[in-house]
Amino acid sequence: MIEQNLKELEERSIFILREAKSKFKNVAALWSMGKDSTTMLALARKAFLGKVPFPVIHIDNGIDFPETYKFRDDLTKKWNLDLIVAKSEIKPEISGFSCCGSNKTEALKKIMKEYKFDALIVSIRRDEHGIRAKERVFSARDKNFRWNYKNQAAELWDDYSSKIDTAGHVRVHPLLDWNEIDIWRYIKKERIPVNPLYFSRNGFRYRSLGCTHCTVPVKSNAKTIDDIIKELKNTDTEERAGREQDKEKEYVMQKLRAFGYM
Amino acid sequence: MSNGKEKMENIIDRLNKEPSEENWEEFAKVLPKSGIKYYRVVYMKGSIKNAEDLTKSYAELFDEKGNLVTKVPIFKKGKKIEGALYYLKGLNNINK
Repeated sequence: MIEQNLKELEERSIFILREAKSKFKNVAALWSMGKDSTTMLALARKAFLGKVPFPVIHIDNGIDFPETYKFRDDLTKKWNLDLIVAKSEIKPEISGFSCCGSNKTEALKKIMKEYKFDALIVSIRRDEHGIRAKERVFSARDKNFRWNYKNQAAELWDDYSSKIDTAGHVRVHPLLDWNEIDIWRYIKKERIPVNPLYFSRNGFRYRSLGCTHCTVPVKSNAKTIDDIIKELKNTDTEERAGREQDKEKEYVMQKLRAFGYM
Repeated sequence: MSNGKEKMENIIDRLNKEPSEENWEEFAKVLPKSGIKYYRVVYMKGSIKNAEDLTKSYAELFDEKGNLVTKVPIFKKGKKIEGALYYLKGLNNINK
């Protein structure tokens, strides 16, 4: 049953990735070196005969975890990725909303303009956050990167429409239907490399990874993928409990996404 | 004091005084042989309001037995202030 579910999710994601590559002229993917975006790259390798056929963008503010940088460099070499590092400048107003809004989104805007990408693959999942549940698989952004979440086409019965008329770009979300435990089961099944920060050290582990400024670990003794899967079956802590921007004012994530955040 | 240790301390002194790209590069060269295995990032309490506050944040570096070896900044100062944690690649995080 679990095997079948993973197979269906994999097939759907591979279809979406191939659809994106064939329908758009200039596609790129965001890679945070987290479990979701790394799983997406593994799916892309499956979809395109072992090679990720589009550039991957790391939005780097210089204060990601050192483990994350090492993981990025190692996997880039191993999987022969076309990596674009978008350096984001640290601005005076840096905490939470301002950090993700100004620093990361502005760096992304700059790189999208420079390389003229018309589609951006982003590895968000509906179960991560309420506002992400409102997303579509193919989701339009206007020329200012704004997302009009009140005016989106329905994607009923998995009937995706990649023909979107927008002056900006299209966000493609191939992992929208996955949940956290699916990701870990797939990582185990496919032996996908993951950032070591996900595993417990001294009774704590990172469950969701951002930069060092906005991410704190959660209590956990999960030292292997099996431990993590077992833990997820029993936990009542939400996945992004360690992410600061999710704890700010109400609807802050909705605002961030409307302004172009990933 | 051995020459190696003295050299390392001089490099860290220079880095703390002036976290320029050259000093970071020099530090990154000696880091793998320094015996430093872990790091912990220490941020100022409360929300950070301006770039000056950022420069007060630092990283504590520990050896494999968990002894504090030294502290280094986490920023690179050139024309602008940039994050510099990528120079600590290879160390393990013990923030909690």
